[in-house]
Amino acid sequence: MNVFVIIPALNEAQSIGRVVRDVRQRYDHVVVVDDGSDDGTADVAREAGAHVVTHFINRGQGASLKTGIQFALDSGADLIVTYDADGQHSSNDIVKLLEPLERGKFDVALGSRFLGNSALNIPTFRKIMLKAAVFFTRFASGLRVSDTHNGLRAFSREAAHKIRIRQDRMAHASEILDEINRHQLRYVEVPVTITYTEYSKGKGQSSLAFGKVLFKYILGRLMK
Amino acid sequence: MIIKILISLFAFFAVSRAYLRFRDGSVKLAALLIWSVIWAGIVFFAWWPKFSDIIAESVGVGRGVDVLVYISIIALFYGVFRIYVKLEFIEREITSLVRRLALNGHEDAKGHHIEQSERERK
Repeated sequence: MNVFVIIPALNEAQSIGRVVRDVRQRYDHVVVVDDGSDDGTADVAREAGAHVVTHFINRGQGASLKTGIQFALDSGADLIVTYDADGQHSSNDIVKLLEPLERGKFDVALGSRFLGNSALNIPTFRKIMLKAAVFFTRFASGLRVSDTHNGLRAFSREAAHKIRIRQDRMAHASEILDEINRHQLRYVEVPVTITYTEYSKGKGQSSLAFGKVLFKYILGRLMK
Repeated sequence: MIIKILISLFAFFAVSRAYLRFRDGSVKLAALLIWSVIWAGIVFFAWWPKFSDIIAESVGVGRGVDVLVYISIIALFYGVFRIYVKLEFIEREITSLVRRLALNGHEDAKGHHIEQSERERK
């Protein structure tokens, strides 16, 4: 199976090299989508052996994922994984995530930090906001998932083809869930480990940005 | 009397605009309905302002709503709505442009030149 790992990255020169090398030990095709970085992220990623696709201006994480997925589909990917650039994921989890897809039982596998006890050092306020997002998603998408904003996911080729990401910025996470529901894709949640380091805490969404994401999401749903 | 007619005409104009947006696909049916209801409400109060007094009293405002202020606020909302739709559209155009530039002229993982993405051609 042709596995492509998509890593959207914005100014991650510090961590991207390590992340790419780590994933490359298991999977040949790592695609880094450089979303308009100005710190040499693209060069570091290329050196580490990734395919690099560059947005020459910043368009957001949703837009980067879509570009990466398109690149992977064009390159003949069978399975597509999305992965964060800041080093908070573990490449062991990709194997766990792909397993149900390889057996053909599911179309989408979603990483969850709340299944089992796998969120290390999660800041309290962030945990509250993430739980609120989970609760909200039950109503908005009708999906009963335990973690809605986890960057670690895997899609079959067919699923990746069907899912339409139109939210350029952070609201794409909820949109992907809507799309899973809309196309009635078979999905499974897999417990994954998220390691909150000082670096990744600084890079992640500020907890206050959640309100803005929610607003964007609701307005986006009113538009075609 | 003149103001009532003017308001009605403007409401008709606004709803027709919203309908055109809906028809060309940039606005969902839900949004069209919301705007239609809002404008119908405005027209209603323009013709029967007594009702606004009743509502104002029951809510506890005390006096009938100043129609002019109302209209200005609604007109502003309408403007913001139009700008939002346009802005979102432009944002998406920019993104697809940036994506096209990122993928075009780039070799895919097999070393083939990607001319035009498989997906965008459709």
